Order: sequence, then C-alpha cells, then structure tokens
Amino acid sequence: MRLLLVEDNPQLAELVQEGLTRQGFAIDRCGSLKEAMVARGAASYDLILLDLGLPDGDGMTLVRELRRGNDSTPILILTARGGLNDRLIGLDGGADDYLVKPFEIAELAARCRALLRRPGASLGVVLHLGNVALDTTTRSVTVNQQRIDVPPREVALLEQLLRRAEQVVRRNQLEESLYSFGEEVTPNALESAVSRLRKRLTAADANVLVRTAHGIGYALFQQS
Amino acid sequence: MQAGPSLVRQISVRLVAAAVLVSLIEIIGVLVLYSGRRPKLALELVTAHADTIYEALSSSDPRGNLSRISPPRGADDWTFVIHDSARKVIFEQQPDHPGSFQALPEPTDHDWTRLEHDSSPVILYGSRHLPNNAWVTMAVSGETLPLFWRVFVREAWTHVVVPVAPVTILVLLLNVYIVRRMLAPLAASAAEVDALDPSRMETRLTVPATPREVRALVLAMNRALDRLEQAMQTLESFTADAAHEMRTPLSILKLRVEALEAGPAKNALREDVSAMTRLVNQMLDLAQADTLDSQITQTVDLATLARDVVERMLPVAVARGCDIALIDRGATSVKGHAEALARVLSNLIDNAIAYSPKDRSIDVIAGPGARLVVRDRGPGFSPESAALLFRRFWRGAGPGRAGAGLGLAIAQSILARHGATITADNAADGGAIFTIQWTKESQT
Repeated sequence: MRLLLVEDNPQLAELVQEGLTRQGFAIDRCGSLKEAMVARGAASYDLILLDLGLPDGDGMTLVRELRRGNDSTPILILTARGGLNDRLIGLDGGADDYLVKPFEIAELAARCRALLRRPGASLGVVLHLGNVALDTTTRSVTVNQQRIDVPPREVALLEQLLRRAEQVVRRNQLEESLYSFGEEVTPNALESAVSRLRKRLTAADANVLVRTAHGIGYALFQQS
Repeated sequence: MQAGPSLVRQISVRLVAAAVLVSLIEIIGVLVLYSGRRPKLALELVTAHADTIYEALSSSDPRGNLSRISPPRGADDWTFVIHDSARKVIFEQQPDHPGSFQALPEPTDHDWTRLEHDSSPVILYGSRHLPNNAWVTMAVSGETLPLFWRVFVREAWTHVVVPVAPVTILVLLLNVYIVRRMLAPLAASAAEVDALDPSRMETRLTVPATPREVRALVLAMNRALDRLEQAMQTLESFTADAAHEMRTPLSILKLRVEALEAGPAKNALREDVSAMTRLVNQMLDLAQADTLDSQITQTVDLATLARDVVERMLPVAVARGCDIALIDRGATSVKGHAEALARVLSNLIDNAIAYSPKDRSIDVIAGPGARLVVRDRGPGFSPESAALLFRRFWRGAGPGRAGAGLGLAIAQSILARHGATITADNAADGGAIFTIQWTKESQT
C-alpha cells in the first residue's frame, strides 16, 4: 500500500508518516504542488493524501489536473479548511474524501482503508476488520485465520459491511446485494440474514459486531 | 427621534421672522419718509375727513350725523363749515375753544391745504370740493404725532401691508412646501438607515437624485457603510483565518499526544485537545453563521439531512458506547443551507452523546412536518439553566466535557437565519429534548 502525502508542514508530515507507517502503510512525503507532480510522475500511488494550503498553490489544482488526465487515484484531502462550503467544494472538485484537521491517526487510517477498499481500488482482494477477513476472489471468510462456513448471501452482506467498515451502510444498498442472488427477497429477509450472520460471527469468536443503525441500515464495528 | 423642532418648522419660523422684520423695516421707512413730509400728511388728513363729512352729509339725517362727527383722532380742537354750491353756509361745526383758529375763509374754486404751524402743536387748514358740489372747509389743531398717527397708519396699510402681505404669505407657504419637498429624501434615507441590519451588511441606502446636499450625505453614509462592511469582513475573515491557522498546530499536538504512552495524563491531554478542537471549529462556525443569509438557497429534505448526519455521528456514538435511532415521522423539505443545518444537528447529537448514559439510545426524529428533534436519556437540565442554554460561552455544570459553550448559541444563530426556532425541554421520563421547528412562512 503506497501512499503519497502532500503536506507542507514538516512536523505534521512526519507525525502522519510515522502514524500511518505503524498502521502498515508505506508513505512518500513531499511539501509542495511541484514536488507532488514530480513524485506522481516517478511512481504509482494507491492513494494521495493532500493538504490544500500549499506554498506554491491550492491543492485543488492538483486534484483537477489529475482528474482531467483521467487519473482516478483516490485522493483524500487533509485540510485546515473546515468552512461550511469547503467540504462540498473539495468533493465536487473530484476528491474522494475530505478530512478536516485536526484528526487522529486511527481515523485517518480508517478513511484510507475505506478508500482503498472501494471496488476496483487497491484493497479489493482481502477485506478485513478486527479478526474477520473476507477474500473477495475466493469468497471465503476467516475469523482468527480460521475459515468459517458462510452462505453466499451472507458473504455478500458481509462484503458490503466490510467495504464500508465502521460506517453506516443503508438498507437499500444491502438489500440490493441480496437481490443479486435472484431469490425472492421478503420484507424481513435483510433482518434475518443479518441475524444469522451475527450468530455465525459470535459463534466463531469474532471481535466485530453488526450494529443496527435504526432507521438507516447496518454498520460493522470492531468491538472495543 | 422626535427630539427638537423639525427642520421644516425651524426654517418656517425663521422665514416668518424674516418676513416680519422686513415688514417692520418697511413700515419704519414709511414713517421716516412721511414724517419728513408733513404737508402731504396734512393733505391726506383733510381729504380723509372731507370724505367722512361727505358721508354724513349724504346720509338720510345729514344734520344729526354731521353734529355727531367726532374730531380727527389726536386733534385738540377742530372746526369746519360746509358751503353749498352757491357758497351759502349749510352747516357749521364750532370749535371747542373759540379763538383757536382764524376765521375760516370762503371756499375758492379749488382744493387747498395749508399748514399753519409746522412745529408742535400744528394747526392746519384746508378746503375740499365734495362730489355734490358742496365745499367743506376745516381747521384742525393738535400734537404732530397723535394727529398724523392715523393718517400714517392708513398710509402704511395701503402702501405697505396690503401690497406686501399677500406676497409674503404666499412666498412663506411656498417656502414651507418647497422645504418639505426638498427634505423628503432625507426622511426616506432616515427610514432606510433605521432598517439597516448588521446581519445584512451588503445593504446600501438609495441615493436620491436631488438635492445635492442630501445626496452627498447619503453617498457619505454609503461610503461609511462600505468601510464598516469591510471592517466586519476583516473581523470575520480574521476569526476564520485564526481558526484555520490553529488547525495545523492542533493536528501536530493531537498526533503527539496520541504517540504518548497510555495513562491518565494522556487521556487528560486528549480531552484538552478535543476541547480546543471544538472551540476552533465553533469559532469558525460562528464567524460563518453571520454570513449565511445569502446562502440559504438549497431545498433541504429534513429526513435525508437527519439520515446523513446520523450516519456521520453513529461511529462517534458507538465509540462512546451509546446508540442513535433515526425515526422519520413524515418530515418535509425546507429552504436552507444543507451543511449549516447538518452542523446544527450534529452539534445537538454530539451534545446528546456527551450526556447520554452508556447503552442508551439517542433518538433523532425528523418530522412531522418541518421539525427535527434530538432526544437523549441523560440527566436533562435544571429549570434555571434552561434560559441560559443558548447563551454564548455559557456552560452547564455536571457531567459532560470541556468546551466553550458555543454549540447551542451557534445552532440558534444558524437556525434564526433559517426562520427556525430551537427549544429545549426535559422529557417526562428523563433526558433532554431539543426541538427545531420551522415557522410556516420559511418552509418551501
């Protein structure tokens, strides 16, 4: 997992680099738009962490330039701009996520993983949270490296939840993943599938929990 | 506003005073002029009394009326005799003191006037041909001023007051009207100045075409408003800039604290950094809330808004060991700024999470209608703090966390700009209920 960090404050850049390295990411650092363009040309990155207020210009110009060049590398904006309209400007500009300073490394790492887990992105092969892992190619689920039997419908459900781990996944999105099996979906099909998945995970001693987001959907959290 | 007389009144009073003064000067001028021409006054006096005598003579009771004619005002004594056209005496008024006058001469064939004594007391003689061909000849004695006063007053009346007064009054009325009209733009501008609202700093006064003075004042006022708006913008952008500038050092601080070994000191520092972060965020939100007016343009579906915010806040709630339930009771759409409203709602949920006991649910209820409710199952608040909740920098006692006490004040400020109100209540079965309600008019 190779990440490019574009941040002009050397202290902050160092702290972020250290933190993310501990979380298992490889980080290259640069401190200006110009350096970022050079680095971008020299190597391929799975994700760009971009500060907006750079000494030689606005980080958004880099976002626009990359998107114009059909470069779809995920971009996570790390910025001091927390104004009411800033987030929208950032996302409309082509960035994939927007994190306002100050942030915790854990939060940043979670956002990075979420971006890398998106279909087609670099973390597409094995999704994991806590001691639960799902191989998207073999469709196998492991808890503590022990393979457990999960029917395809529940694997699909777990995949959706793992792709957006620690975030709420809406009901309709989850229901769609059940529809793809061509079976009739009864009104409480989702509830019963979730309930069965919960039991299976608990039985396997998983340290993750499927929580109900009442009125919205479900979310997978790591148990503390 | 009503202190002191109005400009129209002041100008009118001064104009009237000026008119009176000018009339007085004219009258004094006439007085000076006439006192230097006593023969003319004498002539006028005789003519005036000849007229009076003729009136009496041509009445139904000539003799009675003639004998009742009073002497000219101010006269010490007088006498007159009337001759008919054949020079025959038909009436004679004797003087009070025989010997005051020389014998009155027979009428000649023309009017005449003679001033006997040019110094006080004066004696004057005169004869007038009356319209009925009779002749009246008279003699009058008296002190100069009393004797000629009436003549003078009459002269002043006919030559000064009658021609000048109507013009003066007309000019005065026109002046008042014109002044009133000229000052109308001033009143209009005053109304506009009164309507100025600090939250709408882009408003400017309408510049009137005329008069130039009012125009200059309005233009100057608008320039002053420009400077004021600039100053306010500087202040706002300073607050925003300061908040922005603090974020990077705050990030460094936060990451350094995270890198510390676990322990009570680390936890305390983490809380401190969180409190500072909230303060910085709130300062920025507060600065922005004041400039929100022109941006309230989106159609915001309250159910969608509540869902998005709950989605965002659920991980925070889970990390704190509590839960959020979203309940849609048929919420409608409102006109608003989606992100600002999202901040209001997440602020309320954030508060609820801070006060919520573990394993209890926070209810976020959208609707019915244009309404959002956040309800926790914490301790609620005391009645005396209810009024203070929305005050800037007010912080409640009790469990909770360090903060600036700006969250609810910001929420209220943002909502006020949306035409919505926020109220706080204690639930009957415990916990605080915050209700955001849009007024009928501000809904889409």
